[in-house]
Amino acid sequence: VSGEVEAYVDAAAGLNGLELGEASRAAVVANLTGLFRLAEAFVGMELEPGLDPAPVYVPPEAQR
Amino acid sequence: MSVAAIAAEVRSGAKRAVQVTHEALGRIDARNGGLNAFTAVFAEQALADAAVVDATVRAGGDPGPLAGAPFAVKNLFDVAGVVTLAGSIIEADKPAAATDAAAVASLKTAGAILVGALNMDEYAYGFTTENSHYGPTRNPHDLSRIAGGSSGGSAAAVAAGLVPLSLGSDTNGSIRVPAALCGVYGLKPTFARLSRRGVFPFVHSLDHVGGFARSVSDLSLLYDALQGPDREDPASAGRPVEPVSSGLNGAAALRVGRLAGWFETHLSTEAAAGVDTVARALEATPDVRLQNAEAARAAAFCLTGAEGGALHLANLKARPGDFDPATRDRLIAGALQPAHIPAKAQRVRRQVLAEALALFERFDILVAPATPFAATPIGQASTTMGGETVSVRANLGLYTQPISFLGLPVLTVPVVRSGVLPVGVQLIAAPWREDLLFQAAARLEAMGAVGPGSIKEAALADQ
Repeated sequence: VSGEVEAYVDAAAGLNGLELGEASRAAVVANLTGLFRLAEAFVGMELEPGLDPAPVYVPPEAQR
Repeated sequence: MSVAAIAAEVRSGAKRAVQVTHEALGRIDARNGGLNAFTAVFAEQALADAAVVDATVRAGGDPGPLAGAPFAVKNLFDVAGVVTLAGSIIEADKPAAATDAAAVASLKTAGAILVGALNMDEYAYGFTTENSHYGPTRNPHDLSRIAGGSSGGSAAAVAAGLVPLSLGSDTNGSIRVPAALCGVYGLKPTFARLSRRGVFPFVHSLDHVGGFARSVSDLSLLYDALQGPDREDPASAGRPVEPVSSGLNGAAALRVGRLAGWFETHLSTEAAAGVDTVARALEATPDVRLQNAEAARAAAFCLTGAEGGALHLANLKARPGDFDPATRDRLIAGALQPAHIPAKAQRVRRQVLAEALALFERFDILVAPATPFAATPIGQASTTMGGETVSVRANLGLYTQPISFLGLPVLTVPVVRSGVLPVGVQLIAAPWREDLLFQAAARLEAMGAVGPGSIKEAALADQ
């Protein structure tokens, strides 16, 4: 997985015009790996119909 | 002296606002060196503003409910004539703000006196206020330890008694974490309640404005002065003013539940003791579950990286060397996430909010820890949590992130015991029910269960 994330970071950084030094590249790979791990907690969640799209504000029915 | 007492003396003419301001400036001069809470002090302007308040009193006018009360703001709030740093050196190159942020203007209109700007994590992306450009803010309870962040200067300045009130912002816990670690009260109101106009953004979907105080009464006066719709702020929900300061002693019984599950995982002994104290005092029903709290926390984390990274992308390309390296690399990683991750995070937000709203059919207040552990030593990157070595910075928001992700109002109350570092407890209510938070906090304060404790003044003055 680490090698895949490294390859992804190199490609995505290049496409976005970001130049990464060696130390920065390693930190970005570590951070992105962490984000991918965290995302496993919710990307597979099945959502109830009608809950899409997300509101930026609390829905009116929740307002007193 | 409380804000109400200051305002009463100034309004009656018993004490001049100029004198109150001189005293605050003297405290800052004497004690800020050891704390590094302030990044700027506006002595001349503060004294001029105080003189206007005094002139209003002399002329028989109304100087406002906060007359003469000194306050300071996290340095991401616009202050007319001052460059808005947002904890960075990149913004230091920008022109000074032309006008005050809406929140700053509201407090000035209420008669409060702005005395300075406060330290924070760079671009509000952190929980420690170990700012590599402006230095770390130190915890008034132990100067070798962090104040928490990102509004660390705001919490430390109030905890040390330099000012009675301060403003901060909270995206993932940036008011609640430093309030907990510094042992003061912190309020993050309902999302979109208070105007964000003139506040440097971080994550548009999650940014809140709020504040700090050393008593529930002071915090209520601050909150009341900040309320009101703002047609110039597209992020304002337009709620009318719903005052809380006159209703702190509400007689109604409160139904209180103690959040378990995710909110007990990794909890340190001292933080658990704080929750025990509050839950016992409020006779909380145990073992209440917000089923998808972990998913909410994870989604908040990913969404923060994506929106924060996108916000700063131009500077990440053009001036990468001018960021704190740790901030920069987290922002870059956030910006590089595949789009489906932040998109799904937004959708999860509503699902978990629906779960939380169902809990509020049974409870008025939910109780949860503010942080998993108390303040750690400055410079210590990792700590032990549940037997694992983990990042301090990444885990201080473990229990705050799921709540701000849902936009729920939270009042963090301080539990300070002699010889033990402070911890904080989150009181959480349904959207727009800040009134219940203040009633619960006032009840706890009156019982002596919570409160800011005392700071060893000599330790601060000697620095």
